[in-house]
Amino acid sequence: VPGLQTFFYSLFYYRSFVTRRFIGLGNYLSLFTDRVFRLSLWHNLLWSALTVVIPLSIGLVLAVLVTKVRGRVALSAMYFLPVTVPLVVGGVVWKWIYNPIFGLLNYTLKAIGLGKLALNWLADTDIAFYALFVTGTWTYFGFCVLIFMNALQSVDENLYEAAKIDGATELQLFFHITIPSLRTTINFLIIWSTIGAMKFFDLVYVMTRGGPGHATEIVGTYIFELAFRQQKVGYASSAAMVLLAIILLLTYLTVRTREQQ
Amino acid sequence: MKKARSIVLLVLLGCLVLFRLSAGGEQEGAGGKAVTISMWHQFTTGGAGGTAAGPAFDKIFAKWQAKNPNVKFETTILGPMEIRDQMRLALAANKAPDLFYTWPEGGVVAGYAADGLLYDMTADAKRLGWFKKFNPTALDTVTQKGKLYGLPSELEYPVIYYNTLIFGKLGLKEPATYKEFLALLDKLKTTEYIPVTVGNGDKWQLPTVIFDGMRAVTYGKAKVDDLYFGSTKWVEFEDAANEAIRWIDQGYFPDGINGISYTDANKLLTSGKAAISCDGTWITQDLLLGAEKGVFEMGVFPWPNINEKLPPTALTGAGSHWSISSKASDQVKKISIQFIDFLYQPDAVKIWLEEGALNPANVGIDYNAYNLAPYIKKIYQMSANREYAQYTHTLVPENVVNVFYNDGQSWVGKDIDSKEWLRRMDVEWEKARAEGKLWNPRP
Repeated sequence: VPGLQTFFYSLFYYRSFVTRRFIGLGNYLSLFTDRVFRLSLWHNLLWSALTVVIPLSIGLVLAVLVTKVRGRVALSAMYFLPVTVPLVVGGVVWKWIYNPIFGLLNYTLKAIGLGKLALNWLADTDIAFYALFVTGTWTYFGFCVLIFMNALQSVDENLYEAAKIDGATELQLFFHITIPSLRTTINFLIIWSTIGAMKFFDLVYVMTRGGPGHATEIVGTYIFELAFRQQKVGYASSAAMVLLAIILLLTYLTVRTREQQ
Repeated sequence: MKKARSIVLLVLLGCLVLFRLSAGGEQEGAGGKAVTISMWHQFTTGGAGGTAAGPAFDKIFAKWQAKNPNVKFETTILGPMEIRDQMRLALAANKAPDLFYTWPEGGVVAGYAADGLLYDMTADAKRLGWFKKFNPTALDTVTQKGKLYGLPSELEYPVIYYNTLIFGKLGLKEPATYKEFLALLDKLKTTEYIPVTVGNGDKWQLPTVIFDGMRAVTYGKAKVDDLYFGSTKWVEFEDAANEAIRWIDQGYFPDGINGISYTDANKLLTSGKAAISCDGTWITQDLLLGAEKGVFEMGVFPWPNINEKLPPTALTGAGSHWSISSKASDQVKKISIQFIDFLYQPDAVKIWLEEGALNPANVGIDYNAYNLAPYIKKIYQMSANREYAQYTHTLVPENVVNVFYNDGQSWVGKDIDSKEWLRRMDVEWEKARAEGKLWNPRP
């Protein structure tokens, strides 16, 4: 029902919250020429791609390592800790860490003689997005570790034993047994991460509100700005519908690829 | 038995209906007719962008309540940014409180008025003499096509705060001209102090205070007014935008201003790390509350004219205003008008000035007649004798504010130049004009 309602709204031009007129698909046509919308969408797609590669890889490697050491429960709890921190709180903390004047990151870099690497993390349009992504990774990789750890428990130990007898190295075990055995889990995490990345909002809103300029603007923050600041409810709804369509398409493609495999 | 049960049910239902009918608006109280008014305001006790006039408001409010015991207020207090966003939603959803103290004015009030959401106070204003009692520039900000939709509460001015301890240590004096001001900043650059602290992480301080401030003292009131009511384009203010960028290039500001919040920027001043802050009267009390003893003592001077041919000019705007929902009952409207009129009577003005660090929009205030801290008296006196050029972000529609803030950050980060930023402002300005969203106080 909310989806249908949003689609209904997207067919109207809203002069304000209370004054509207029907314009059919006009809002959708405008989206294609909207510089900020295209940029926001690109940021979402980039965030999705990076999330699929980086936190998942970190999670997989750490899960494999953790399962082989003592104290793995404590370690996995430590990795999972950031996941339990509300994104808004995490965002506020990382905003302090990145502060160009008071921030812990620049302070540490200067203290260890790497002052040249002290940057304006959230102020520089070239790096703000990636600085945000580091925070996003921190909030998410622990979840991947936990899921992979659980999945690893179901991998048949006999496979490893047999491969070792045949002289397989640790890397070969990882690429030829571990990864294929985790295919279902990896597919699940890809879908989960992609959907999560496409509907991302909290961290960006708290840390940069899409700035500087629109350097970290994502569709979620742009929709918020359009709907709740500029009162362009119809236009914001059309952006939301496009986002929904992309999420559905990506999910369908991922599931279908998995089925074909 | 069945009949008795039906009667009991009917009586209960009747009681419920009567209770529901009496729950909103008006009800009989012990001392006569009691009225309930829902009210939202932003008189918090401080914080970034807060008015810091909370205790003063509480005191005036208590006086009103003592005289009007049958008026009950259901009050909601929100921060300055929250109230702006939530009022928009509440008005649209027909859930607006009866009475509210909010911002911005100009195009936003015009939009609400066009949708019939605000009560037209013009007749009340005439009856109560508001047009003679309040600053006409401030009244204009809440007027659309000759109709008054709010009562401006206070006047605000961007001013330049400085740390007198740093100035004393370095042997510096307040500048009288823009040339002297630049020489002062160049001198500060050679010291351990940040010359001017500014934080544009929240997107508004550079465009609103620095660009708008420079625009006012470069082009003057007439040219700024012509943007609103004439044919002037935003790109014609390019010199002011370029001057702001020159300040960045000269290293007058801290590095990474787009990543520094407004609150953190203020801390640089009050902790003695920065010598100067280009800010506004809304933050005076908060700066004093945040000051570290022996590290920061407040001094203040006005923006010197960049264009010396202009009369002394100040950027100004109504800080916030009181409005009444058009959906409120006639009695609630009547009492709300009495209440907000009471808030700016002479006794209340004294409390606002002396205890609230808030400068009411009343005209003809003799600041010497009040017990004010010297710097506060100086701020108000120096601002009162100037021509007023209006702010941008409290007057323009939201689509223009979006470019002013967001593309303003790109401009500060030099991803776009001044001309491109102002060109984008013109594009949104024309869109707003086409949609009839521009502020126009004239009938």
